[in-house]
Amino acid sequence: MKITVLTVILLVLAVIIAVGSVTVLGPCVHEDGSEAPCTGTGRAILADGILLAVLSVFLLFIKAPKMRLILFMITAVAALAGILMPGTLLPVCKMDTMHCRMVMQPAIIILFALALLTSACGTMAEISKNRKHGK
Amino acid sequence: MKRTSPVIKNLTRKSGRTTALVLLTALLALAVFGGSIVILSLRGGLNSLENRLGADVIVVPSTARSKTNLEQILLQGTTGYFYMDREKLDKIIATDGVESASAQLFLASLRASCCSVPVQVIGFDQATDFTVRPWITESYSRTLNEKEVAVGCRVSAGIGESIRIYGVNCPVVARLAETGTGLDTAVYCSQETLQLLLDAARDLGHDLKISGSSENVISAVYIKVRDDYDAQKVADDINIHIRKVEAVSTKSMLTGVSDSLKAVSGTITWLIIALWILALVILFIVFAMMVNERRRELAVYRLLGMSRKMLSSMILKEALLCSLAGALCGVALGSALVFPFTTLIEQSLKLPYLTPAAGTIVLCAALALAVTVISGSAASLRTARKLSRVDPGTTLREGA
Repeated sequence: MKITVLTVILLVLAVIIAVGSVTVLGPCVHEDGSEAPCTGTGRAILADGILLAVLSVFLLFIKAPKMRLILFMITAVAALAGILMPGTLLPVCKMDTMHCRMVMQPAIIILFALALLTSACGTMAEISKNRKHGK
Repeated sequence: MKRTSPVIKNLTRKSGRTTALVLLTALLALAVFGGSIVILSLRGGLNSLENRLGADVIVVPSTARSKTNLEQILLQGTTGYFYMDREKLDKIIATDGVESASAQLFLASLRASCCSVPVQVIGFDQATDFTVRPWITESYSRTLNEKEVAVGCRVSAGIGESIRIYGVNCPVVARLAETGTGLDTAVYCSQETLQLLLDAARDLGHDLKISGSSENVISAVYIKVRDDYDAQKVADDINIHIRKVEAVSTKSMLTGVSDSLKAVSGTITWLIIALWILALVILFIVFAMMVNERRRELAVYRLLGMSRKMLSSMILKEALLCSLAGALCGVALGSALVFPFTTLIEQSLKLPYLTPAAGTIVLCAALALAVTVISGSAASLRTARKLSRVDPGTTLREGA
């Protein structure tokens, strides 16, 4: 029951990330239509959010303990990648007052950090559950 | 076998009630911590602006939007430019009460190579300046040579890199300390460099509305008034005697900012008070409800040999643990909401905003923790006293 709650939290976070990355938490938009340095980063965040959402849906339906453990571990890695995406792995605009620096970067890092925490709790819960059942 | 404390057992057994208590106390801590950090940051921003302005009077061209533009440049980092004849500087210097005056020249870049947005370029006279120079000296003691620039802390160009403005490569020689104002997003250079940039902009076909040579124009004059003169009177004198300029006393500009700051701080303070009253009332109600709910449970504890003091202390410990957990969550949530979004808060409030030093932040967190834990425990005191007086025999007979 508790693990299902964690999975639902993970799914909600993933949906917020994915929807946010194309709306309020998205990259900067130039008035002349040209691409900002953060445009690609926004796309990568969207992809990572969708991946996280798909994995969460799998977690809701898959019952095999080992498979669930692996899925939780993958979500943790995806969340960690998401934390590192804006600014570390991928570029954002260089001015602090740009939308991607003011809103997208901090919000996405916080959301992915929460997703990482949830995934870590899920992984621990799965490990202890597997131990209890002697698998 | 590991023995769990009855306090922890009680809390985990009624997880719904515990979660509600933790959330309520978290709300209290969040309000106190987040609110106080925002108020302190706004005060810090105003102090920083006061220190950075350095002048008593600023003179700008009297074109309708010049004063608004100047405030926007200084407070919000909006880019802008306006020009007047350099001869106005001589007339201003000749005004009674003017101790020293220094001209500045403004230019808004198009999209600079460092950034995806235009940046404000400010050219100051290195020989007479008394506003920008002391600030630059904190990180760079030499004179700025031709094309060399110093950048505000929010312009992302490191020392040794170059910024390309209107096709001119300008090496960055210094990064300035944070002020929490619009000055953090500007680029500073000598007036000679700025004249060079003005010419480059004009060569690229940008209409800067300058007639004649760029050497004959200035954007603003910063004035230091003699101690025995009133800044407002000097500003009025300039407005009366020099045509097509508007002298603004920085005191009046700061008063405007200070009034806005008071309004925002007042709203935040009232919000905190309202939240506190609401949360405290709910806490009292929750604890009062516990009296009836736990009467029989505590009667059994008394029958098992627990003294009244032990019962009170158990209830107090429960409240203390819940409050502490809530307070920690509230401070963590407050940190996650306030610190990463500093620029967003500053841009939304349109006021100078400078995050306090680490020591002050730690003090605020400790204060929020203490106040929340004390309030949570105080709310449970009455309940603890009432429940400890429960007569076990009567209570169990009533329920039978």
